[in-house]
Formats: sequence, structure tokens, C-alpha cells
Amino acid sequence: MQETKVEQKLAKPVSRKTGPSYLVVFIVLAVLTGLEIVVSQLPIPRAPILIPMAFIKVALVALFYMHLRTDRRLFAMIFVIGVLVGITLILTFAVLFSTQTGGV
Amino acid sequence: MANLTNTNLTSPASVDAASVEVEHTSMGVDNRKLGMWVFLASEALFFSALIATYVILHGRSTGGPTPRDVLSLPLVSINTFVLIASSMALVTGLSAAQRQDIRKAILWLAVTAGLGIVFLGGQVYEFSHLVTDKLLISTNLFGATFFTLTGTHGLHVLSGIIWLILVIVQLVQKRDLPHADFKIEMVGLYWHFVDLIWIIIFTLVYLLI
Repeated sequence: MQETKVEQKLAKPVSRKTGPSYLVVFIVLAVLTGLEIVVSQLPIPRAPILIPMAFIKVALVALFYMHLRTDRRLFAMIFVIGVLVGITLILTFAVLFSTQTGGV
Repeated sequence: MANLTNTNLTSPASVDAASVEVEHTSMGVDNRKLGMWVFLASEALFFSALIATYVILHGRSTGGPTPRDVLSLPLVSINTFVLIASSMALVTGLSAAQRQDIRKAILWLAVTAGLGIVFLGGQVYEFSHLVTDKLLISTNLFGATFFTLTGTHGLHVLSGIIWLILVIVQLVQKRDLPHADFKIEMVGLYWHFVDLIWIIIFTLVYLLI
């Protein structure tokens, strides 16, 4: 009886394609990239706009193309921890070296 | 039989274990996929180190050329669109494989590999122009960090193309390849990660000059 249940579970197809279609995600990514290019040419502080836009694009790719939105939470946790440690590393070094001057 | 093993799940007689949710490990997830995500997390740390190096050494070169002097936004923008399009082509191929439409899956994987080659071609073209503009990896801090960061990314793209070609060859040789969609999903995770890293590099290196 238990074996039958397991086999039924194995045979059950996983529907990955939920929410917006891949094409819609691509269009959003392309539009955001276009906007980033436009913003980069404007005489305004760009980092506060461009960095969040890049993070939105990264999130779209991870959630929809890498299926973290519908896949196991464990995979998302592992990846997000890696990314967060990476961001911490970048920020820490940026702050540590921000007071130093000179170059090679 | 509740305690299933990998052996009986991957045997030809079993159902397609890779394409369905399976709880056949102590973690309740597929070990191969878990391994891939751990690898990608380690890659995120690796690229973080390179990006951190680029960020902290940015603007500290004592001599030219500077990023403003040599970087070409139009060329790299096209390359960015190409890489984003390649990600969409790959997920479309995965979707086709999950519908057992292997012919379309092969086609979309080939499109993905083709777009990857276009991206690499663009990068080689860019590098050759930079060398012409007297920017080498040894010229200054900008050259060292720029070529290390973008060159490492380029090598990842090259690895992805080779992996894609291997999967395509396997699918062409054997249309009823077991776990075809799983193989595509694995190369897909790697490819999307490479795309994701480029999104950050594009912003930090080319847009925030």
C-alpha cells in the first residue's frame, strides 16, 4: 500500500510553469536593462537607482528562470545565504578600504 | 519500501525520478540538485571576492586608460541583451523537454549555445579593442581588475557552452535519454547563474563608471 503511494507520488508530474510566462519575464528584464542604460546617461546620482534595478533583475532570474519561486525552500536558503555572505564581503571590504588612498 | 534508495529510483524500470518531486535522501531533496545549489552558492562567494576587488580598487589607478576612456556601452549593452535572451531560450528548451518534446528542446539548447557564442565573440571583440587602446591586464589597477573579473565570467560562459553542447550531443544521440529534462535543468541553473552574475557586472563595471 505504501509502495503504491510512493509510486503515485513519483509519477506525479511537477508543474514548474506557474505565474508569468518566461517570455514576460524576458520582456521585463529587457525593459529594465533598457531603463538602466538610459539612467546611466542621466546627470543624476545613478547608484541608488541602478543597484536596486540590478537586484530586481537578479531576483527575477533566480525566482523564475532558476525556479526558486516554486522549488524547494532549501535550495533558495542555500543560494540566498551564499549571496548574502557575498554582499557582506563586498560591503565590508568597500568600507575597510574606503579610507585608504593611493594606487598602483 | 518507504526507505527508498537512489539505486532503485534511477533504474530504467523506475519512473522518471529526476522530473518529479522525490524524497529519496535524508534531506528530502535530490542530492545532485542540492550539490548544484551548493556549488552555485560557492560560485557566488567566488565572484563576490572578484567584485569586491574591482569595487575597492576602482578609481585608484595612477595612470590611464580609465574606464571612461575605453569601455564601449553600446557593444556591451547588446551583449547583455544577448545573454538575457539566451536564458529565456534555455528555459523554453527545458519546458519543451518537460513536455517530452525533445526535438524542440534540442533546438532551444542550440539557440542558447549560439547566443552564448555570440556573447563570447562580443567579449573577444571588446578585449581586442581594449588591447588596441593600450589597456592590458598589467597596465594599471583598472586593467588588472577588469580583465580578471570579466575574463573569469567569460570562462564561465565558455564552460556553460561546452556543457550545453555535451547535453545537445547526448540528446541527439539518444532521443529517449533518461532524465533529459533533469540534465537540461542542471545546465540551466549554471547558465542562469552566469547570466545573473553578468547583470551585476554590467551595472557595476559598465553603467556606474
